[in-house]
Amino acid sequence: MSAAETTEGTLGDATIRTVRLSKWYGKVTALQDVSLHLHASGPNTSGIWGLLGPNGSGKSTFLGLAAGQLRPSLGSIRVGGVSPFANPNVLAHIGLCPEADALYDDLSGLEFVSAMARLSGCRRQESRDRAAAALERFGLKNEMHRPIGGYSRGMRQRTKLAQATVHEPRVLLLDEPLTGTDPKSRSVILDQIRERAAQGCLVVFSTHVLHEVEALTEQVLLIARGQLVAHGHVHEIRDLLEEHPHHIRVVCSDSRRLAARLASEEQEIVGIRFPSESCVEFETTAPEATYAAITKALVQDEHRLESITSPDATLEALFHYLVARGTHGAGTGADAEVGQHSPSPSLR
Amino acid sequence: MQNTLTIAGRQFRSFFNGATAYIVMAIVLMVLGFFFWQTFFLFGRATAREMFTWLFRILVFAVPALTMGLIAEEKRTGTIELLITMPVTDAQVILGKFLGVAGLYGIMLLLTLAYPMSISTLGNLDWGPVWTGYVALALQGAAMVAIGLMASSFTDNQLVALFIALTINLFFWMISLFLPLLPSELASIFEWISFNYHFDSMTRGVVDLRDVLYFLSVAAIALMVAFRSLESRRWR
Repeated sequence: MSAAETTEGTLGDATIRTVRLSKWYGKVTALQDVSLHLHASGPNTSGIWGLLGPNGSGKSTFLGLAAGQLRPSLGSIRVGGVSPFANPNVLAHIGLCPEADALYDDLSGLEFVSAMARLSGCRRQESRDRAAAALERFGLKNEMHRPIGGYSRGMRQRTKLAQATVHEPRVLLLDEPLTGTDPKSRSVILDQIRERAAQGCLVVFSTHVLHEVEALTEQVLLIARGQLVAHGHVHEIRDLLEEHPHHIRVVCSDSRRLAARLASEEQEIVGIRFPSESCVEFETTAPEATYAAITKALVQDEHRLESITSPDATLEALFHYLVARGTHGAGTGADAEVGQHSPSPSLR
Repeated sequence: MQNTLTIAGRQFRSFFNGATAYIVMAIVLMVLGFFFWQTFFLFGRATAREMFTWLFRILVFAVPALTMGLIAEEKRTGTIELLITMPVTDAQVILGKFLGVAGLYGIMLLLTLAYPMSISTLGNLDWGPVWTGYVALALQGAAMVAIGLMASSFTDNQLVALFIALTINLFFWMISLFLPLLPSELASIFEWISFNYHFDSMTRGVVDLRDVLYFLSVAAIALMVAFRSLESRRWR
């Protein structure tokens, strides 16, 4: 039992600590051997953690475990030092905004959020007051009396966030909170998340879009295929993206002549292959320089160009790259304390 | 208790926010009126016994229609995830849902009072059996609502939930029709577990504690199974 752990079954500090946390459904492994320690804002941290990973990587499973919806198959998870699984005392201090667009469409926004506040332990009038204030904070003052069924996607997302924050939780878990939101909704949501964190709330939000993390926090956890593959600051992830060998695919009239010229002139090109007769794929460590060289060669040699694409200009490619390298930590600046049970060394 | 009542209130209101409650209540009252009044004047007696018999049969079909979406719809839409992340226990969710439907069922029974009141204007109605009949309907309703809730907790498909609940209700009703075909030892057991056996004695004006316990036991067992079924989601 850690120092922060309590014996009464109530929440201690606003922290999430996992030790060799694993979750599988039958033969499918959703999360594997994740050890970490996340905490609210302090001297070196904003209290906001971005959980970054491609679809199906295990982000929602992690949040489900932290929200007490799921029981770990192996290992442990503690929120404020206490297991959240089916523990109402802890759940009263957790706010969850699920990814699914699941709301009671027949209720008005105010009725829905009030009901959720009531279930979190607020009295009738208090829950109504809090619900109205929460909806107002999320810019739904004029719409709160309308049935949710008539809300736009952005309004529904903000309603979910209002219910997640109405009881002023100490740990806020947000599953893809910016999905489908318009710029106005996005701005409101980001401001509210920052405000919650500034008030001492631990915020963990999942996304598969890097710039969404950058808009909120410097602290990021990369998760892929159920494993924590890296953690650290966003700029370290950016560095990894640049370090990651990049593929550029060109379809033109004479792909072999183009390949021969670039192979002789560009030292950054570390691999060339021909997926088809008219197509050449370059692997480079300096994408921008290689793009410029390709363009120059195409013009000077008067090639008939059909397309230039990159098959792996996505985070997914980075995740695969990191998994293949067997890495487990992005940098020295990480505030997430990855546990001693991590299976592989940090990436330096 | 606050959480249970909050869930019950939300469930109760949701019936009236949509058309479900109005449609089911209208159909029950119309079908009951049709069958009851059709034969009432043939008997020439001021009694509500036939009404209870018809109401019993109609509710076997109507209650599953009210309960089919209780958990199944929440599973399908994903709102069950919201609910179980709240600091509420599974028992509170089940009990809240049960009370929500029980409230609507109670209103439906209240509306049927129009029939015995009409009978009383036509003749000298003995209100004793009427009140015990309503006690029987309330108890049978509790059992059928619990069975419907249990069926709804098994699936995320409302039609499947309807089919399961209907099958169980029909079993408890129809089993009494097949008693002559069964060996005497089995017949007495199946007679005892049928709804009719306990219901009929109450509509005659006799409230036997064993009949009360029977319906309450069926309701308690069904609620327990529903609770375990909901709880099992967490143990995947």
